[in-house]
Amino acid sequence: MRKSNLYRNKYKNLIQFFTVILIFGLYIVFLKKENLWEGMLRFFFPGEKDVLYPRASLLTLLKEHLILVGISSSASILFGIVLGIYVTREKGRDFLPLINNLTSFSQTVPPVAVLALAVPFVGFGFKPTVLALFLYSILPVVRNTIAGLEAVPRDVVDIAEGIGMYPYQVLFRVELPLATRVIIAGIRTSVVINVGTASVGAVVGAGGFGVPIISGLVRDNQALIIEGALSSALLAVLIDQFMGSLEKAFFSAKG
Amino acid sequence: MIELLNVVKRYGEKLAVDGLNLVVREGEICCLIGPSGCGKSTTLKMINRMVEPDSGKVIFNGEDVRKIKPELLRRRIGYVIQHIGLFPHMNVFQNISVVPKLLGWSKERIEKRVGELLELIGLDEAQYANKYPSELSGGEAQRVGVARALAADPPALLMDEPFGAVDPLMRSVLQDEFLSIQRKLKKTVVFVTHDLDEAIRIGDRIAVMKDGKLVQYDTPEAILASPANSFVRDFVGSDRALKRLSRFDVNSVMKKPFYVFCDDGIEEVRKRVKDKKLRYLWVVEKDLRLIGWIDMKNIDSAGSMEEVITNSGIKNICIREYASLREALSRMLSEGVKVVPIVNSNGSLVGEVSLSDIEAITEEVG
Repeated sequence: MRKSNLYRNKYKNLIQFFTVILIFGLYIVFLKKENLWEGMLRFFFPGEKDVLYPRASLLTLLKEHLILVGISSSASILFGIVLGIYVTREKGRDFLPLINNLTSFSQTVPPVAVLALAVPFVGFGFKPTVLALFLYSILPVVRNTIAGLEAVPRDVVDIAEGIGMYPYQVLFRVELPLATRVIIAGIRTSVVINVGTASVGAVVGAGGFGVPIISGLVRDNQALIIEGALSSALLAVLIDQFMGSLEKAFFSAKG
Repeated sequence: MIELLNVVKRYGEKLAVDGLNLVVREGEICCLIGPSGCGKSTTLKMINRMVEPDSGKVIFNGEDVRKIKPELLRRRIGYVIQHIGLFPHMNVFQNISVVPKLLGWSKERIEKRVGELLELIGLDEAQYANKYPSELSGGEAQRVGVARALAADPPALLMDEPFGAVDPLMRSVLQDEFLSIQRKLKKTVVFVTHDLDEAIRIGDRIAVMKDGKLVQYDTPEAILASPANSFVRDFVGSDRALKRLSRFDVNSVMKKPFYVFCDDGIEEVRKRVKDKKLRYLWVVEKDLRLIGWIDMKNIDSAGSMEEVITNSGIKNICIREYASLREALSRMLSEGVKVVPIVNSNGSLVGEVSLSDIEAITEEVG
C-alpha cells in the first residue's frame, strides 16, 4: 500500500516536472509573439510611439538575462554551499560568526552600489553585474546550508562517527542528504532574488530584461517598463516552480 | 580483550576520568554504572577513540588503540547509543548494511548478512527491510540499532544506555532478547547504564564508578553480597535480596508443569489426577498453547470440561521464557497467585515456577 503510494507520488512529481518544462516552452513562444505583445501594450498605452523596445527582441534579452543569472547563481550556489560546509566543520567553526556577518552585510549593500563601486575596477557591462548579483544572492545559500547542517541531530552524526565513517563519508552519506531540503530552499530563494535583481545590470550595459525597463524610465515610456518587468516577473515565477518540481522529482525526502 | 591502564581525561579543570584501570575479559558483558557525571560515558568513548585520553593507555585485542586509525578501529567495534541514532534517510536494510558497505563487502554477502541479522533480532525481512526508521516502534528501532552494531560481526560492542529511551516493559523484553543473542554470539561488551537493575540483569561484571574513579569491580552477586564501601551500599540500596533475583531466569528453576488438553473428557481427567494431590491443572490446546487452568476444588462437582476451565486473566499470569525470577515474583505478588506458568514465544506452556521455588533460591544464595 505504502510502496504503491510512494510510486504514485514519484509519478505525480515527474508529471509536475514535465508540466513546468512545457509551460516554460509556452513562455518562450509567448516572448516570440511580438505582434501579440505589440497589440497588448498598444491597447493600454495608445499614445506611445514605441510600445516594444526597438533595438533587441525579447528573446535576445531573455538569453542575456539567463546568462547573467546562470553564471552569478552557479557561483553563489557553489561558493555558498562550500562556505556553509566549511564553517560547520571543526576547523572552520571559528569563522562561523564572521561568515554570518559578512554574508548578511553583503545583502544589505544595494546591488546598484556594488555596480558603482565595481565599474572602476572591472569596467562596464557583464563583469560588475555578475559580481554584484553573486554577492547579493550568496546569503540565502550560505544561511540555509548552515541551518540545514546544524539541524542534523547530534546523535546521528555521533553514531556515524562511532561506526567508523571518515569525516567526508559523514558529510556526504549522512549530513548533506539530511540537509538537502533546507539547502535547496535556500537555493530557490537565491535564484529568484537573482532573476529580479539582474535587471539592475542594464544600468552598466549588461543587457537582460533591465534594458527596456531602464530605457522606459529614461524616455518616460511606461510600455517599455511593463515589457521588461512582466517578462522578468514571469521568468522568476517559472524558475521558482521549475526548481520546486525538480526538488520534488529528484530529491524528495523519504521516511 | 579491552584494557584501560591508568587512564586520565580532563575537561578543563574537571577530572572526568581519574586514573582508571579496567580489564574487560573476552566474551563478557561489563556494565559501567554510577551517578551521572561519574565518567562512565567518557570511559566508553575512550575505547573507540571518540574521546582521546590525556594520559594512560587503552588496549584493544592486544593492540594500543592509538596505533590504529580511529575509523578503522571503530569498524571493528559495534556501537549502540541511547537515542538509537538510526539514519533517518536510510531504510532498515541500508541502516544495517552501513558498516559492511564501509568495509567493501560484496552485494550478495551484505544481503545474506542483513537477512541473518533480521532473523536474529526477530524482525521479518520481507516486512521490515524497506521500512524507514520513522515507521518503526521504539523497540523495533532499538533492535535494528543492535543489528547494525553486529553487522560486520565485530568482536566487541560498546553500548551507551542502549535501552534507556524505551518504556520499562519494553526494556525488560529487549534485555532478555539481548541476553539470548549474547548467549549465542559471546561478544565482549561494555555496557553503560544508570539503571542498577539493568546492570544486575545483564552484566557478567559490574564496574561501579564515582567521580571518575572505579569504586568496585566485581560480579553482580559479589557486589550485592559485599559492597566495597558505603557509597556502593547506598547505591545498591536496601532491597539487595530482591535485586539478586534478577540474576536468575525462570528457566533455571522452573519445573515440569502438569497439564491436560482442552478436548480431554472430564472423566478421563478426573481419573488421571485422582491420587496426585494437585491443587490446579493447566489446560492447553493440541499445540501446547496455554489457554487456561482448572481449580481442583471444582473438578468433582463439574459436569463437563467447559464448566471448570478458567481462562480469564490467564494472559496476566503468564511469564516469558528467560524472564528474571524477580519479574516472576513481582507477577505473583501483583496477581495474588502462588504459581505462574512459563510460556515460550508461541504461547506454548514450557514450565511453571512457584513461590516456594523462589524462596528456595533466596535461601541458597542469601
